[in-house]
Amino acid sequence: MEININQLKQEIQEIKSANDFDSLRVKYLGGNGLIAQEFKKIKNLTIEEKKQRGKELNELKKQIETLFDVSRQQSACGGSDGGQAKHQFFDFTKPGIPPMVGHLHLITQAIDEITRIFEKIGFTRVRHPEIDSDYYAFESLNMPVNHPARDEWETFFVATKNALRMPKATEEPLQDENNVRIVLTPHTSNGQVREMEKGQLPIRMINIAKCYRRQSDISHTPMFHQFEGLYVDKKVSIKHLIGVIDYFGKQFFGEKTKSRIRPFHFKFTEPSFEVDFSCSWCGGKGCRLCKEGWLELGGAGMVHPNVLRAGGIDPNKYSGFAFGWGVERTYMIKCGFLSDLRTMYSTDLRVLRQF
Amino acid sequence: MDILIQDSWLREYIETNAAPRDIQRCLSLCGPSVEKIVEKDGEIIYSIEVTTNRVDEYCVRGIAREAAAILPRFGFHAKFINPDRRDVACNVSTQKNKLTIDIQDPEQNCQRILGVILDNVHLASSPKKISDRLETAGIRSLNNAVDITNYVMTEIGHPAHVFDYDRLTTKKLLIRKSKKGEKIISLEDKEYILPGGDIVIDDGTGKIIDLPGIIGTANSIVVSNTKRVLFFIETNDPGIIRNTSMSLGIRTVAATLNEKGVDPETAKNALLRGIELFKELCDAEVASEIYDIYPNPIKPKTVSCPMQKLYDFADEKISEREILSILNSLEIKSEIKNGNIISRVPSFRNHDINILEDIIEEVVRIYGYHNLKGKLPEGELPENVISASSADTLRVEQRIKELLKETNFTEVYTLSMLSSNDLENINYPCGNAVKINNPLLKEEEYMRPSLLPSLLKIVSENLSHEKEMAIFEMSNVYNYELRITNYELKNKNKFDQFLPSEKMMLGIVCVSHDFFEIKGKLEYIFKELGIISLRINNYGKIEYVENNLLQKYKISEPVLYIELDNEKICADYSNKKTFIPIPKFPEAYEDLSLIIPEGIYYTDIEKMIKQQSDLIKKVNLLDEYKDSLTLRVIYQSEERNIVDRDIKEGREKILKALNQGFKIFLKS
Repeated sequence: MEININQLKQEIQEIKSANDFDSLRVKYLGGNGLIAQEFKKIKNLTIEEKKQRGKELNELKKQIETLFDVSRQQSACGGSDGGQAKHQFFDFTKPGIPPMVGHLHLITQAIDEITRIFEKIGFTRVRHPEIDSDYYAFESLNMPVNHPARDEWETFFVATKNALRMPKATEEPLQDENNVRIVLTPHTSNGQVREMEKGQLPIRMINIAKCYRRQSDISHTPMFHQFEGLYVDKKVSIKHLIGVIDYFGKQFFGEKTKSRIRPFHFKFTEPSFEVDFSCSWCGGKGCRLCKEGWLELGGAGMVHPNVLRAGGIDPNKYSGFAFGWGVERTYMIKCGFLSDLRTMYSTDLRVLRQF
Repeated sequence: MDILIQDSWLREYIETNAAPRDIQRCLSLCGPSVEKIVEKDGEIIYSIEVTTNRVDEYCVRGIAREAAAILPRFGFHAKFINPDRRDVACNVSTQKNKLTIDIQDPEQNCQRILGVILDNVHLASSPKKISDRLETAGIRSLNNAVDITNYVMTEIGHPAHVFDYDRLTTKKLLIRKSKKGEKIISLEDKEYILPGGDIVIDDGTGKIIDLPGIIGTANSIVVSNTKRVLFFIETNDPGIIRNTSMSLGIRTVAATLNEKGVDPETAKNALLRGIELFKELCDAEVASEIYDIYPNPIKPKTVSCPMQKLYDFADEKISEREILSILNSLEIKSEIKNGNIISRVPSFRNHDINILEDIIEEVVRIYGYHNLKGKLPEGELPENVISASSADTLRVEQRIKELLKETNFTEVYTLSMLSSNDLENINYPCGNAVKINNPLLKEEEYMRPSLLPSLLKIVSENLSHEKEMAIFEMSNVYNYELRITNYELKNKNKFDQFLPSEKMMLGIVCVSHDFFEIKGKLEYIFKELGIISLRINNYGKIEYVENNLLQKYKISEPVLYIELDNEKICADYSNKKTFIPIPKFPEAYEDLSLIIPEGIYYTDIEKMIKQQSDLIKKVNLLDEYKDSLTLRVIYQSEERNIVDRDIKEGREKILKALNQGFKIFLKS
């Protein structure tokens, strides 16, 4: 017997109960149904015919199965026929089966987001050492040894006896071997002069790395992450800094975010600024998260001419700006729910699985 | 540095119609940041953050001077009040002046020394107004004489000191450098051993009677029966003050100001204000001339800033008139000559204004950063943007993390520091590890050379509530084993050879996960990264953590540990796609159940099967049971259909080879 699809469609239309549905399905797709019978006939055919017919039948079977599936779904959802053909109760309110996937840490998510935001305006993420010489961490940043400005960083020092290595015979011995101080970088600014030393201008850099400071309390952990922006080109102005900060604020905190810079002091920038963003939680009215509607995010400034010179750049021809902010703090402000920085470093899987 | 001052005190130095809130808002935008305003007992108190370069602002008078420059820009009336006190010590009768003091400073360690002797000092408590203001500023009120020194410091901005004149038995002050090991007893009765090279005051007999600029000594300070005092102010070398203060750990307000370089011109003003207050609060009389040793008075320096540079920095046409009016309001007397702003720096800004950028800052901040409209960078894109590669290490790292997430791993961040015990546990020689000189905790003394101890700690902490775990961390590990790092190769400088190596590692720990499940995930991840042949050995290791190590971290479950070198993975990463056309002819297969003697590797079996015929495209492992494996051998040809004969021939060859090679039999 030939199977007529149109006839089947007609029969499906006429289904009135779940029983009707089931018996119709058995008639076509059952172990001894119409399709099965057709398959049985194949054995009498030649190899070539077998192949041909087998293919046809498989396609037909698929088509019929689809018709039945569609019919079942329609009846479950009320159906195209006004719910007349309610064959089966389908409880779509039961929970879905969650996929087995893991979790990326908030810091990773934050770093990725920050990287993408700056990428759009041509700032490329780079990496510089997290354990570095005192020269890149301070001295080249216009902070000579024993300068009081260094007090602001609670710096970890690396034991120098470990830091020293006998130069290989082929190397020139170092004059000031005993004076090389090595620190755990207390900020990502050590990347500034290193980036300049690459000798390629203009520079649009985002350096994101682990930083270390000797402090541990509600808003500090001895290890944290910073992102450092550096832009060096001809005629870089304060307006460019304001523009980039404003762009970041809108991208990261939301389009209504306002930003402002206020006078501050850092040795490696001149002028230096403190950067504030309007609080997206209270809309600028003032709340427990902000200071009178503003959130202080971190520092910025125009690169100090001494820093440009340390990086081999002529401050008469080029200027630049830099900023460096904490990844954790920035993301906490965005989230609003974390009040203790140490929560960010929780290693309890019940916490980690929430993000 | 935060300074807390009362509104009423501030208004003794500024006449303005601006309300406290206005002062807060305007100063914060253009000058020192007024962090908070609080009201206490009817007094408004400002909490102001003064940056370390502006030690001149760390006083009532300094804030008033700034406010007088800033407030008019916001439409307020504001006038700085600068009382003339030149005549406070004028009416000293010469007869009274029979007291002498001999100040010597042979090495000129002090920039300026000022002193005056006052008689008939009536020691008492300070009036409430004075003590309240000091307490507000966080300074304990003691008695009127000592309070005057602190009051003058907070109001005028120069630290001051008072001696009991009668206790200075030799009537001589010799300013000299200390010798290493000399002792002093501070006014708090604490003994300090001096590091040497400190500025001290000697009474001429070798006895130290003061540690100037830092702290007074018990043997010369005002006591309860003091009648005559020497009011004394000195401006010292900031570097020497800092060394002494830091090495002794004496961080008085005076020391933190002096080490930043206070103004010797201001010192005179502070002295006169002090005299005024001694007369007013202690009924004292001036009993000597004013000693003033000032061998090298500050010569006003000139800083020149091209107008063009200012325009480049601000990108704003600020008129010449406005520039001059701003600078003059800050007492920076300026003129414009040949397109240059020529500024004479006042003595109180001598330390902080040195270069043309400093002048730009002064002009633009008072003009108002909030008046500048931001714009995005307009210049050329850097080369590294134009030639950016998708195989960039940092991008691949992110991709690896995402793949790990997709395959059900959870990421952690742990502290990079470990204890010496942790290193011992993993048999890592401490000598190769990066040791911290000044760790916060003894347990955080080393920078980790491996992620394993940190990850085991996490497993241990989570075991009480987690049955299965699949955790990863990607972080730098540090050590002195491998010196050649990327930075060194790229960036030859004289420092990098001393730096430890930093290596980005991926560490994974799994509890209660099947080995082959994890292996399968890693294979998937590597395939996604375009790395076809995964040989873990090339990238790191995969192993079950030894029991005795697990015990050290109180872990009772087996832990699978995977450690991969990220740099190597990134180096082999490829996003090239390959395409295999869909075969024209169908595949055919046969399942074989084989009895495998112990010790035979699956890969060897697979390899041998594939060698038997070019038609064998694939071998799949279908099932395992005790000593037998069921394999599906898949045949396919690009030219024709597979026929029964192909499979029969294949099977015979396979069974013969397996039998000869490995003594493998077909299961009957």
